[in-house]
Amino acid sequence: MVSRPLLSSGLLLALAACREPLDDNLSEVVAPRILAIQSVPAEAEPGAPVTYRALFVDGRGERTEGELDWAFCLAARPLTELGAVNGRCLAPADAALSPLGVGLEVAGDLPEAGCRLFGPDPPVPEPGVPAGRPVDPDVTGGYHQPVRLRVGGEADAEYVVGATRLSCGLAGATPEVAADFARRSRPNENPALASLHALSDGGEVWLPPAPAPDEEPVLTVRAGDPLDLRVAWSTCPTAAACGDGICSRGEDEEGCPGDCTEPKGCTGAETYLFLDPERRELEVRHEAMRVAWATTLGSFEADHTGRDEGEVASGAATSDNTFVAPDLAGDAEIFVVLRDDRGGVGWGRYRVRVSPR
Amino acid sequence: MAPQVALAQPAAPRPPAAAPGVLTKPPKLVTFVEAAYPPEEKAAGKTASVVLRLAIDTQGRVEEVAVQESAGPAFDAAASSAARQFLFEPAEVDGQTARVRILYRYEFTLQAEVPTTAIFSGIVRDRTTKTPIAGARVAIEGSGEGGTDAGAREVVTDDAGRFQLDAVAPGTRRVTIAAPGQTPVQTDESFEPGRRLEASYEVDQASPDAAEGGEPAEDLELVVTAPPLSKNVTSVEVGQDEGRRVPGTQGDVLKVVQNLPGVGRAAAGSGALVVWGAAPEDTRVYVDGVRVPLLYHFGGVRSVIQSDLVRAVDLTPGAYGAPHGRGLGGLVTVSLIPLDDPDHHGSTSVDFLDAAASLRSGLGESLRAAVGVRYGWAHRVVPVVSDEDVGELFPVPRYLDGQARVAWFFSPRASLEIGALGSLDEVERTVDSEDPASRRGDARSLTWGRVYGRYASQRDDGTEVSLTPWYGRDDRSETQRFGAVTTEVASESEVFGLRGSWRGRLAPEREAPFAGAVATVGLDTEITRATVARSGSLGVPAREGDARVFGQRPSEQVASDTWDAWTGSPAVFGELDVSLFSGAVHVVPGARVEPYVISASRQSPVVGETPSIGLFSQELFVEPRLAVRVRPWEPLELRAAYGLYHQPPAAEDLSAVFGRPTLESPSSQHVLGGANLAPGGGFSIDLVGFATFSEDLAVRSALEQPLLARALASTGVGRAFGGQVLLRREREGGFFGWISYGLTRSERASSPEAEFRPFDFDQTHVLTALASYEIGLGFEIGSRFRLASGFPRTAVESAYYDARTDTYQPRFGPTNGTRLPTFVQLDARLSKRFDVGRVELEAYLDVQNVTNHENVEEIVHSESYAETGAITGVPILPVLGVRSSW
Repeated sequence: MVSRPLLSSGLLLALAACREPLDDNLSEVVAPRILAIQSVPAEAEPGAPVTYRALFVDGRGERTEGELDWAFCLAARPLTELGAVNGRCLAPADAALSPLGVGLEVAGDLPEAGCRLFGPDPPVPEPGVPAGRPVDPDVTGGYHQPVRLRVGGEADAEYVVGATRLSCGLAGATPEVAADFARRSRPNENPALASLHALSDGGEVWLPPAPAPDEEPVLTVRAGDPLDLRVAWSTCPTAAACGDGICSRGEDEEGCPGDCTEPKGCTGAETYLFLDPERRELEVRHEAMRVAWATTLGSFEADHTGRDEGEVASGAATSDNTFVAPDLAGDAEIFVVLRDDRGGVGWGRYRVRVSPR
Repeated sequence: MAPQVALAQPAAPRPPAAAPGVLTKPPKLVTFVEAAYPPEEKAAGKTASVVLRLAIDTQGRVEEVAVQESAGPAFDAAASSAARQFLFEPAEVDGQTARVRILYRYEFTLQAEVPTTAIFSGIVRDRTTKTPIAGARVAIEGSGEGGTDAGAREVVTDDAGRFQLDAVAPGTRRVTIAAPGQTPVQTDESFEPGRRLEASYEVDQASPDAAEGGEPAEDLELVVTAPPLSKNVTSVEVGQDEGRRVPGTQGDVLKVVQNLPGVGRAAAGSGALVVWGAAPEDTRVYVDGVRVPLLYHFGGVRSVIQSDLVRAVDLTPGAYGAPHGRGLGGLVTVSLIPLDDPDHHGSTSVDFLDAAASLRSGLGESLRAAVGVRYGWAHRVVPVVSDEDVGELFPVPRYLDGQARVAWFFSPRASLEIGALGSLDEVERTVDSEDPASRRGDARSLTWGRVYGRYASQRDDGTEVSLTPWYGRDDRSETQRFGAVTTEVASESEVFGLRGSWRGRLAPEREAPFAGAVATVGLDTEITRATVARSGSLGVPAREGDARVFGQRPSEQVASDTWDAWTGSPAVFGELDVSLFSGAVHVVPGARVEPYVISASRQSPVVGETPSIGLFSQELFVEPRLAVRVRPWEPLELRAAYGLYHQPPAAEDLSAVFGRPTLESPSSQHVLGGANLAPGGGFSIDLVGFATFSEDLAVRSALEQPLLARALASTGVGRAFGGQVLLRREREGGFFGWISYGLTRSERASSPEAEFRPFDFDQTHVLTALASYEIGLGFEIGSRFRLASGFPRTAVESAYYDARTDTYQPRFGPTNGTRLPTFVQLDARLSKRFDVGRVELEAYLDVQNVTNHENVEEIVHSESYAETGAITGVPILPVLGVRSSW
């Protein structure tokens, strides 16, 4: 964010528009807030059972209960709305909502009409009316069933939207390409944090995940000091290897029953099949990874870090950030949320002690 | 350069010593003869002042000339020769005509070519024999302002029947043609600054017998040709010299358009022309009849045509005549400087934005050429003197433009011209981030070129014919990257145009009430072939009426399409200017028949290997136009006009994925009424009330599940209404200026049944006041004040969290339900002109926003939309420039 005069030359000062600094410090948790919603599985076909759980935090740490009301959104987003979901779904009640339950974790079956409402299958045409327009896929070629989470009572409700990636097939592909895609593609897997380390001149300090309430932090940082952190995720195989426990692209139950009888994906940055919309051919791409950082005490230099697809393809499987300890002493609960760009989510909770200066 | 003459201060006439008495009436110069400027002195750029002593006899003739103060032999001889031909009203001494002597100062000055007067030339012929008439008197009546005969001029045809009057004061004036021994006949002509009016008059010479017998003048028939052009009833034209001096434009003539009534203020860095509440892309821009894709380079910092090659720019906000169409908004016509001057002229200019040069010259007897080029170098200068992150917030545009013209005047009345116009614009910005989802980049480019030929002629009967074929190519590309979402739109267009017109007087002047009729007919063809490739989010680029905020992340849903589109419209038009009651009433009905042929390469998205099925449609529109001008009193003109307009759908909207191949051609009706009062002294007041009604506008489909290939719908409607006033003083006595105010309400709705909302560019109030004054010694000062209502914006009422993408999404209030704060800016300009030999140098300091007022140009939000801030426009911006011309 820039607030200072942009040009040192008085003559050219006017060229630059001035912008006020705007930073709402999303890494600082000071009020109840949803940090993430995880769908398990991360990708499924319409009608499949799915479980949602929310990472709900406040200034003291992760909350174990909350007034969270879940519902599937069953209304497609009109082209005149540029947001994530149809505005009708951001209401306490609407015909476009299919209630799922209340709590930090709920379960249900994905709506059967998901691929018609939110995917490549054209809506059922009215008699005498041309077919409907398929929904555009996201940048990874995916489609998503939205789920709406209402936080708080109806009067002061805040809304959060999550989603499950739908296994719907492809739009506009030839039958051969569609069949190839169906044979070789594998559902997305939620990513998981492999580790979080604190970096210092003396080396790396591993931070244990999910410490118990009375568990002593393994790391102490002085008030006001920075602490470099590095999060890592698994490195996924780029080629299928039967027996590695991962049902990769090109492996199937017949050829590799050990990996694919109960298919399990890689919890790192996976590769996936993508239909190039211009060439209409399948290509292999790498997931990009994005990391959200949050803490109950102190702040982070960046609210988000991550690796784009090119960096992941080059082998990057870590992301760095700097925790800035507050001036006050105490224990900081640190939340690290890892997202792949196909909609998979994983997170970890860590603890660092801040000592007085 | 013409010599300038000045009569010395009432040089006290001194009667001969032998004639004592009191001077009761000084001599009055009634016939002035201009001295020939000595060629060598002119070439050397010399000026001079010769004081002569003139002896005037009792008949008012100059009987003796003596040089009192010499300026050299050449100047002395020229001044003396001219003075001997002067004719005075005789002086009177004691009430009796008498011989007197006076001192007369004749000044030879090289005057800048300020196009404040017109040239009137032509020929007088015998209608029957077509032989030129020598000795015919052609006289222009004075304006009659203040009961004077200001501007009255007279000339006698030479042996070839030709005549010429230079420095004719502009305006509509009565012209009297008197052949020897015949009763004079009269007509009206309109003289425009900087323009030559070439006329051909044919008179029926009565036989000597009839003349001797005093046959009535009714037998004399005057065929008046070169009928005056009837301008659009709301047009405002600004000439080069005046436009260049407008503060805040950095000497760019065409930027003056932004100060004219009916034009909304462009947002900082946009240069968009919003005319009468119409979308910027709905206003058409023509350069000498050739349509160009834009008037200003990216960022609006400069126009695309170099000012030294511009004669004038004319803005018609609406209700224009039948010769133009295919646009729902206004009309901007740029007239290039005529190439009828065989002398060498050139110019150079430099400031921190760019450098430019132009050259005009004769190449032999009948060939003329002109070239101009401009190179923007701000993108090189800014990084040197600025902080590193300037490029992140303000992408500095790169631009280049050039013009080249060659004209062949193969006869006194006909010419052929070949020309080329071209422009290049690029702008690029990159914002890096630790967060891959926040890495951003924008890149835009537009390269366009036009080549044209033009045949123009005026026949002996005054009929004007012109034919302008042209070819153009536009290459556009726009890329926006926001995280993983990359949106690209690239189009390559080829345009072929053919514009031809015939204009002539259908009926001669007769007795009232019918005073004549001038017809204009022509064809206006434009065929466009465009190949468009687009990929990325459907919401980018944004469309008018989108509920969005500045900097909003695009949807992650993406699509891709490549398509071809053809649009052809061979229009024919006709217009008849019927003059009634001695020209006091003009009724100008017109019509334009415009068939549209539209072809899209695909009517549905690509599915597998299925061959694409194209689409072909045709529409025929008859567009009536009507303008009425009534002059009940010489200084007052009442006006009214109506017009129906269509424009073809944009090629970019004919996608089967992002748009709709079956879009209809939107239409708009314009109606206006107004009055112009020119009380004299160079002042005029122009009042206009207007309304426009548009329909079949392309809007996004509001359906939750739109049909295939129908992402857009032709259901949008719009309306705009308001009024404007222009108080203007033409350049006179070194002063010019105007105050324009527009009150406008422009609204849109997604369908006729939907509720109207403010248009994205609606500006309720736009006030511009500017003035410029020559304070002497070559110094000129000027100032411009602008006040404009803020643009409508859609307020963010709350936000929700999208946990899948870890982003926040805004929830909006009513679309365009709020506004940016009012824009207020004061600009100033100081210039100094001085001559160095033949070269005129001008140094200027143009300061925008001299009060450093913080104008909010955009509202910005924090990532969670919890905080709101503002982007402010240009702070104080001094631009120092130097220009030379010769």
